[in-house]
Amino acid sequence: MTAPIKNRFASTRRSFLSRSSVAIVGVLALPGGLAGCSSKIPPMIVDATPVNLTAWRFQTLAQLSEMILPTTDTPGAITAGVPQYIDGLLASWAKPETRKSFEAALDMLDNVASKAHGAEFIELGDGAQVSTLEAYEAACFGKDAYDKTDADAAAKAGYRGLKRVIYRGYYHSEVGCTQELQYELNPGPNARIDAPLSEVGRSWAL
Amino acid sequence: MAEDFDVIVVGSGMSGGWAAKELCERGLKVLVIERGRHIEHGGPEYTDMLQPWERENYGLIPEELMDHPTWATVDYAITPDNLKWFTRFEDAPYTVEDGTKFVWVRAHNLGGRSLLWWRQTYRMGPEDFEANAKDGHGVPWPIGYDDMKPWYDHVDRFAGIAGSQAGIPNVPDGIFQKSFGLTAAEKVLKEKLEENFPGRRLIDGRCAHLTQPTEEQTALGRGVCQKRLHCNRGCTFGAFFSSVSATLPAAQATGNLTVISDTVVSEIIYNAETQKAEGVRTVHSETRAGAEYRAKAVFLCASAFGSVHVLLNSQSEAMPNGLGNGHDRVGRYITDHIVGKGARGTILGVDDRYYEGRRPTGFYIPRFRNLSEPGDGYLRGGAFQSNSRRLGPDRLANQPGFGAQNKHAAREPGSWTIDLGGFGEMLPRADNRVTLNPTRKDKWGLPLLHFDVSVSDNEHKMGEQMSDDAVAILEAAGAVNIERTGRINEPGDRIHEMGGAVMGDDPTKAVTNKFSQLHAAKNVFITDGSAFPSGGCQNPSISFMAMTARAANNCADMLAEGAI
Ligand SMILES: Cc1cc2nc3c(=O)[nH]c(=O)nc-3n(C[C@H](O)[C@H](O)[C@H](O)COP(=O)(O)OP(=O)(O)OC[C@H]3O[C@@H](n4cnc5c(N)ncnc54)[C@H](O)[C@@H]3O)c2cc1C
Repeated sequence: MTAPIKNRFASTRRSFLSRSSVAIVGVLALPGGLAGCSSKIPPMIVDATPVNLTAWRFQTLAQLSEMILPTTDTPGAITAGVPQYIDGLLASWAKPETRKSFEAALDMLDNVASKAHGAEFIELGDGAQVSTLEAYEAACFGKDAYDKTDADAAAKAGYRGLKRVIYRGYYHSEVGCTQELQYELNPGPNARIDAPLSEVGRSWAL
Repeated sequence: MAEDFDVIVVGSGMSGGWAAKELCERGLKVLVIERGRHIEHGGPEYTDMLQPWERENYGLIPEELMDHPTWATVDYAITPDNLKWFTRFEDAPYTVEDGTKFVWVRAHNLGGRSLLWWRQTYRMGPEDFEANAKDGHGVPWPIGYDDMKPWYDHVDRFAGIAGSQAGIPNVPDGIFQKSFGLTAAEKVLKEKLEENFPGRRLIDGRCAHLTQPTEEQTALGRGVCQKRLHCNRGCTFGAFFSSVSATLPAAQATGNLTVISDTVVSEIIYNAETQKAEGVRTVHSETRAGAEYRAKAVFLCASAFGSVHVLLNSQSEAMPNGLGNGHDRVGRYITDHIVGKGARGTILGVDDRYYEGRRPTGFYIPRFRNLSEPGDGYLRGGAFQSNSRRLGPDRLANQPGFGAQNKHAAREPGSWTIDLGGFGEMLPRADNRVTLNPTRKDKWGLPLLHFDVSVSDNEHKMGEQMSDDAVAILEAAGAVNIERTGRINEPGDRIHEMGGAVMGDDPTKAVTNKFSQLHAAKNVFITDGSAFPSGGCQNPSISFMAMTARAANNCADMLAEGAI
């Protein structure tokens, strides 16, 4: 497996600030190029240090995950550790193409935001974020989304894959399994194969 | 010549475990030789007590690994937990004839693939044992269902099979523990199937799980199934049947068992004067050190092609083409099951029903083609073996939508989905065969096996009709969103491989006789899938177990009588 491109720059907002000039050089030197916003300081959505994603993309992912599975009467994707789960998957699970497509998906989200609102996704206010994500999802799941000749084809496929792992990360987490839905490690011999939904209650997480 | 043991058993998997147990219980000193590593039942390789969030990558297998040739076509069976029990292609390679494909799935470890199996257990029926004689394909079976029935019963009692009595002739009932039952959607399907297609039946999936453990089972440390479906992580409860949870401990308890692991049996030592085997030669898996072990009889239970490999490698002056292969019949009549194409659909009207726990089985629609209803231009047939479930939260991941409303929508289970797919019988054909590769060798110095196996028109036609049948059955149940699924698989990838040393009365056509003895050396018994002249469409392992138990008891009688 190829070594993950480690983001040496971001850990917390403070360390990012102190090393931001190094960041610019480092980012430009990376093959393939990265979103221009990598050199900017991302707003802190989640207080965690990515190992594989750039700080910007990681914070974008955190915002995206939380918007998909938000905190309601139960904790949302951030409390469930979804951004860290996916950041880890990039090295421990994803093929290079998958990793690139996830990164492209996050960058495309910024492009959609910039085109509509003149700022990156995590810099937008709540309403603009919602309308951006709606437009973005429409593009990623729409009729043309599967057209391989489209310049954004990989990014759109990347988003569809990313959304699946966001769900996986949430519903396999302790929060997803024990607070949002239910899970029994050992259901036991008396578990009923046919039972009224009203008695079972919520969906099984798994 | 002094023998070290009464009987040597080659392989410790589904079949080898039964040979060891039966022979040891008959008072014989048994040596089991296993090429793979030792596995401790309930030991560190079992991961069944991990919570979902404690599993590496939450259960995702690294994508690059899934591109590996060993796993690419059996991805349906692999999880991060059982990956370590699948033998990698490069560790034990084989070759295939140009223009053909063959997937040979192995588990070189104590217990073999009894640690990996899905535990589905259906007896072969009278028609299956008669098929070759009736339609002229393959070597006629030298035994019938009546010969096997007492041994199926014997296996049921010890292994523990959950199922329901159904009275269907060609999937005979057994001695069952309490069945797991059907889901609400399956009950709808059953009612509509049996109403619209008289003669067709839908029954509870039968599986080797304890639901009412007997004293004998409890004494071995086995417990009741907890409906976890963590089976592929190993079962600390010993609730599903495996060699390591059941047969090997039972053999061990007699004090008559010796097991050596990490030891590859390279050949059987044959004495041309006595026309008997004297024992086996081995190579250590790691050190490659050679050794010989002697016994009064040898049981080949190395899995169908593992056993064929040993026979073909056992070349002597008297038998230059391999033991029992003077007539070039060893390695022929290879079969697997085909996976008939199927269909998937949504069942309506039972959205107020759900389930608890994770049932370790599904439901079964026994074969009806060329039994109660004709097949469309082909011989034999297939059965549907499927499952139903309500879609989980991830259904919402595959469509647009986000936010609180979406999250809360996942609190309701999704629609009921049934995937109808199954297994079809492959006709036994002499030219579907495995031979030794003339030039390439493995790291133990043994020639590689070379496969030349393909599916015929008969299987394609069967597969097509299974797809049409699946659609019609779903339509009759009022299902919506019906989609056709599946493809005819590569041979081998259903992991129900059989043939290669088939049994039959005629020693010029068959390799073993009706007691599973090699025609050419009466103290060599072959009892795994290699001896099966045809394979029905039922999951075969229970038949391998019954055949092995039968042969082991015959062998014990013969040894007692001095007949071998
Ligand atoms: C994922 C999966 C699901 C399955 N589901 C089902 C199911 O639901 N129902 C069903 O009936 N079947 C099922 N099967 C098939 C079932 O596992 C096999 O039919 C069964 O294990 C075959 O038994 P065996 O003893 O012939 O071979 P194995 O169980 O493979 O054991 C053979 C043993 O011999 C050893 N060996 C091989 N060569 C040598 C040698 N030269 N020297 C020493 N040792 C050797 C091997 O290492 C191995 O331990 C499934 C298999 C898999 C992989």
